[in-house]
Amino acid sequence: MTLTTTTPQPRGPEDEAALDAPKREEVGRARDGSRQKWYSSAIARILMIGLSLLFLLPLYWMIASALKSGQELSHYPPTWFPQEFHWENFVNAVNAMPFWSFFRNTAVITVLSVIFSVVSNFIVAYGFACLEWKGRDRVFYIVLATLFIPFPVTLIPMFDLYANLGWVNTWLPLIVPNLFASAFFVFLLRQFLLQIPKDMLDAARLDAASEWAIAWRLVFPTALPALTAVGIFSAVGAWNDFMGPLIYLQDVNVQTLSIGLQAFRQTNQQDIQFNELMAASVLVIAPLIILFFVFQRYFLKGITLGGFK
Amino acid sequence: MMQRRTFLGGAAAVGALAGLGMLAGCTAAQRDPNQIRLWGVGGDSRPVEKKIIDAYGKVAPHVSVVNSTVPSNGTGDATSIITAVRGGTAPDLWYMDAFSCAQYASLGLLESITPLIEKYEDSTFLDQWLQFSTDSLSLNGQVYGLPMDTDTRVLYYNKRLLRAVGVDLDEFDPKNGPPTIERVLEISQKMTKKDGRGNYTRLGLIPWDGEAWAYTWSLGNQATFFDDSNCSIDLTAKPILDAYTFLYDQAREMDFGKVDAFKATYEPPNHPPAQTSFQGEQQGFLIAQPIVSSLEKYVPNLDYGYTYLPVAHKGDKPYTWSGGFSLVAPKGSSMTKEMWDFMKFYCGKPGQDIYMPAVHTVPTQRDVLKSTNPAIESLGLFVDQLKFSTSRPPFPVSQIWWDSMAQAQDSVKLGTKTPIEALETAQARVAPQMDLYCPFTLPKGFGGTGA
Amino acid sequence: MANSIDVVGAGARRHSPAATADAVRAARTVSRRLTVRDKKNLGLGLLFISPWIVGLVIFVLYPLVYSLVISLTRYSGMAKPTFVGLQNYVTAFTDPLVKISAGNTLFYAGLAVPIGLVVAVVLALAMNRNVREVAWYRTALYIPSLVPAFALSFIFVVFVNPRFGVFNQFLTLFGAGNSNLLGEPTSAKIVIVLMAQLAAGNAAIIFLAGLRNIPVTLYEAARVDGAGPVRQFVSITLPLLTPAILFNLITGISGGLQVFTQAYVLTNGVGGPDNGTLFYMLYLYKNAFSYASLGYASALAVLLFVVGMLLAWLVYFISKKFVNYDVAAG
Repeated sequence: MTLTTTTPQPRGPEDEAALDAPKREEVGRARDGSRQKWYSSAIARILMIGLSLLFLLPLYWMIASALKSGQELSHYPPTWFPQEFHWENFVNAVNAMPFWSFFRNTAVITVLSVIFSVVSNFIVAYGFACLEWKGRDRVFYIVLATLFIPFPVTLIPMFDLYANLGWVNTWLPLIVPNLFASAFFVFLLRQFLLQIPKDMLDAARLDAASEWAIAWRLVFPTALPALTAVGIFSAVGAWNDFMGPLIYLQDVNVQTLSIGLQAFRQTNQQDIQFNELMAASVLVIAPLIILFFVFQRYFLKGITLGGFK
Repeated sequence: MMQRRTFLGGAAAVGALAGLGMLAGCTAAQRDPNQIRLWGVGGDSRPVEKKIIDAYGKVAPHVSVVNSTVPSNGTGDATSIITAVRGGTAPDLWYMDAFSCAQYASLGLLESITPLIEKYEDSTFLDQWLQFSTDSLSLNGQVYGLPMDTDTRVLYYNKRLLRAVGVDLDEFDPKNGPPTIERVLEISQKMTKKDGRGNYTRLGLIPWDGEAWAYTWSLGNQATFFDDSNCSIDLTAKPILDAYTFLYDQAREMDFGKVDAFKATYEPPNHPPAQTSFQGEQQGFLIAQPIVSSLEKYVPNLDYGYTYLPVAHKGDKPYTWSGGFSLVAPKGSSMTKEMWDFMKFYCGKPGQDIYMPAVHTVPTQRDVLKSTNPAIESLGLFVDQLKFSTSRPPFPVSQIWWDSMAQAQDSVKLGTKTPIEALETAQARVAPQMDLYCPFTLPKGFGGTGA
Repeated sequence: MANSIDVVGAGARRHSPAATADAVRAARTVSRRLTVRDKKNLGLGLLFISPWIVGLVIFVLYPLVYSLVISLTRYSGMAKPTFVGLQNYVTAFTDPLVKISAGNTLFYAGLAVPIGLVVAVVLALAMNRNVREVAWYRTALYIPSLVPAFALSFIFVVFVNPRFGVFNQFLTLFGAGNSNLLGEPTSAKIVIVLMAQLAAGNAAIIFLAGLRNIPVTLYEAARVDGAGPVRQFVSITLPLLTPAILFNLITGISGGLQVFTQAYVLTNGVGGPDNGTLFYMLYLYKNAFSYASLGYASALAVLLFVVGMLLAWLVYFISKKFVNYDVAAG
């Protein structure tokens, strides 16, 4: 196919890593719009670091609280830095629930949810964006409308359905719906797939490629940044989901981390082990942070739109 | 090549579906009569609950108790139990806030245990628990659960701060009876400190803080919240109105905004349990449940005491109220003899003997109350004043009633409504809901207190 | 759009297969009837969206019809529903709490949607910086979106502490005394709007993906034309970001109308002070699962759905005028 032989055009500065240094610099200037003086880049960097620190505060606060002793938590005003490191809070947090079993359950649900959701949403979004058929945009409005269905009213009918299927206390109610696309992700992907020039698709069709092949071999790699967003959102959604596991998973063998965290917060006399709760929370979100750090680079691989020139 | 890909894709999809089928397959387990499914306590009381279950394992080795934690979203949130009962996956026994019992029972979420009592027990069976605690689990003559722990409200005071304003601590010894509201407010005024900008830095009693609900003050005014004779709730009755007026006046006098800022400074919402203004010695008085164990844990050096709730006039009878948890059988529970025996064990003397000393909470079982266990004896006044205690009325509209009362309290504190306006709003919300359940009467003798 | 960009675009379009495709498309539009080809296209389109159609029936139509039916009854979730006609809808229009909660929600959405868009664009621009350590910035800015809401609320109450919180420190500069921002109905809503911004990373990575879509050649051409950074942002970045803006706008409205978690966590499900954070969704949820008035809750849900649908329709059709999907031609 002609498409795979085109030379990728520079999409963003990071793609230039392989190219020689002077050119990299030039592209950087182009994106920022002007020649940068050393001090303007220093100021930008300081602003960036400041903004990042602001957004890191919640995590810092969680970690600091997780390391404090119960008595230190009663200090007024709160101490910004733990006086002593109580690493045992992390150990206690892990021991307070079947952490590793919950971890495994959550991981399985998340991985399957992400795969199903990326695949199904991509196929459907392709149908709404890359194929042209009569009534397409009207039908798409229905997709948008379904974004506005309030979740509490779906809880009971859906539970009735899954209970009749015998799916309570299994992961199926949390995983299977991902096979059927979701309005949010279809909408998201459609917005990006619509930006792919029709000419490119039509050219491939003239080459007698099947739609299925065009979808997976041409469009899928092109839409990688948006697909990464879908993957990240569905991973975070599945990992942190509380309401679903709450009503569908009643058996400790199948429960997830979010249930474990919530159970932590419910004690008699409101005497929450705050430091251990924070330690558990840090452990729960740590894999997500790592995951994001690893996968954010797919935003770098700008799509090779220019390639069809 | 294209075909191979399509084929591989199809094979992957079939494989995934087969995998899902296996996940579903491993769950359709049969119900074993010797297996009891329990949704038990949450948090750090779980190890204690496990001891009860282990102890029962020695009594009845053929029975296995499968315990899960199904945390709720919050008090009064029935999402998980409603769905589970509908889906037929509810547990045999559920550890539940007794306050919700009448409402859930009236919805049909719970099984009555009266038939089990009639079948297996004698007529005095329920007398082994405090009356208000079994009352709170009753509806229309049926009993829906067995009581576990309870509590009472007391007035805590900071001895150091009291001494500093020249108060003889003997005055607050419970043996001298309840203090008067007037006196507590007078001392509070002496304790109060402000900084240069007019912000409070220390306060005495905050009349709406902690468990000092308008409901609490209404009880002190001998309010009754339900009239059996005509199945009605009157939230604008004088004892209730007086309580709300008291809060309204206090909020204006103390300047609610400034008190609220004080509270949010030293005891912000969602604060760690260790960070409260009473523990931080910024607040001299506090009305609360038993918090003794957490005071010991976080501020072992705090010099404090506690006594009866303050009354309107010297010599008035003490009053207080109690909440607590219970074990109930959701609809669809097996209701077997095995389950019943375990339920009796858990909430009866054996279970409470294990549970109460370990979690420092007040038992409801009379023999356990009399026990010489130091942990129970140290509960002192919390137990002594049980004879004056009552519970919130067990009627079918409990949650909306409580929310409406709290909402009226919010309006009165902020001054957005006068006390009577606020209560009329609450009344308009609750009364029509109650009408749906009439005719209805509270358990016989409810409202009368006594251990 | 700037001329220079059109030049680039035009260059990109002159391509022989593309020209042929144009001809094919032109031929297609001649006939308005469903030709064989149209039918084939329709079939193919429906085939591709078939997973969604199945999902629509199971996850949307079934619960929706269920809610519609239930909304005409009094139903606790347990006993048999009692038919009450339109009673629940009549109640909804007279219930003072519906009015209050709808007002709170509109107040929230009116602030949170535009603020959220601006914050997300700023974060996205930051995440798109041309620096070696950008991965760290991206992760840092996204982390609050990974943190469970209850944990976020723990740090946020430190920010709004009347004495040492940053907001009050700022207010003190103007001579204000300490005040509890969460203790007053209006400021409590504003606090929730601000707290929601910590999770702006979600909208930001959609904008980031949008920014990655913009060909660098456009900026190069604009620079040759002498366009400054502001001009480039207005005439290249913004127009080409419109698909992402439309997405974040509609999902922002949807999220704004259904705001729930933050209020539930910050006020422990009460919706205080003085119903100041009793949002529509929270009230709906409480009716369903705290007061077991499922019929009433369903009626409230149907009303919300209708309002949401109308808003979506409005935005979607207005959007056809401003959203630009053609990256190359502009």
